[in-house]
Amino acid sequence: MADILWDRAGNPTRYVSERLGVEEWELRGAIHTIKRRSGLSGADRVIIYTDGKVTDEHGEDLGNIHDEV
Amino acid sequence: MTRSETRKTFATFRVSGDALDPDRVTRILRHVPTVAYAKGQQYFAGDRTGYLTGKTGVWLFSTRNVVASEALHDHLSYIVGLLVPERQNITPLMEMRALVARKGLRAQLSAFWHGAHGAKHPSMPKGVSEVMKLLPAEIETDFATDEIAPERQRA
Repeated sequence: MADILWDRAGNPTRYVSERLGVEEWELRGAIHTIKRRSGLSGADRVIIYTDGKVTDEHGEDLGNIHDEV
Repeated sequence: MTRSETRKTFATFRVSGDALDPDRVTRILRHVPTVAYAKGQQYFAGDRTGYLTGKTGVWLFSTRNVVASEALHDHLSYIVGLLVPERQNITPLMEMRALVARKGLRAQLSAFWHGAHGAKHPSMPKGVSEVMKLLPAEIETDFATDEIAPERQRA
């Protein structure tokens, strides 16, 4: 079971990209893409897990960072 | 801003809403969407995620893997070209305007830019804002830079 890496509003910190092994711009671009594809906007909060999984604030799957970089 | 200061940039045009018929948007704009689905329809969200069910309808076109440029302006121009393909041809824009109003849809232009530490953020060209206002489409900017300079990253 993956742990939560980020569950706050706004852009994730460099720590999150380092934990996922991706560049900062790759992480931000992936989140941007996943949110828009899911019908969300930039202000919507998402949760990022240590395996790259991204869910909305209710835990519904939206995608995976590693699929987008 | 020099081009080397841009790590990644792209633009996304999205139309969404419960009453969205994605094929109708594809026919109006004459472009294959990056992703499109109606409310309740399944769509592919990547190898690790598989198929998800759309909570609302989405038609989305991203320049991410289409426009090979580090200038945000080039990506925005491509999006404007979907709606106004030629100077005297505003038919797609007018048809989309009617569709958005009739079906209660929401149109949005998102601009993504990530630059090197300390790089100046790009600006939204006035012409792009004016075209989006006619639809109308919201404009969302997602601009940021690296948290720290490269020399500090290596330290």
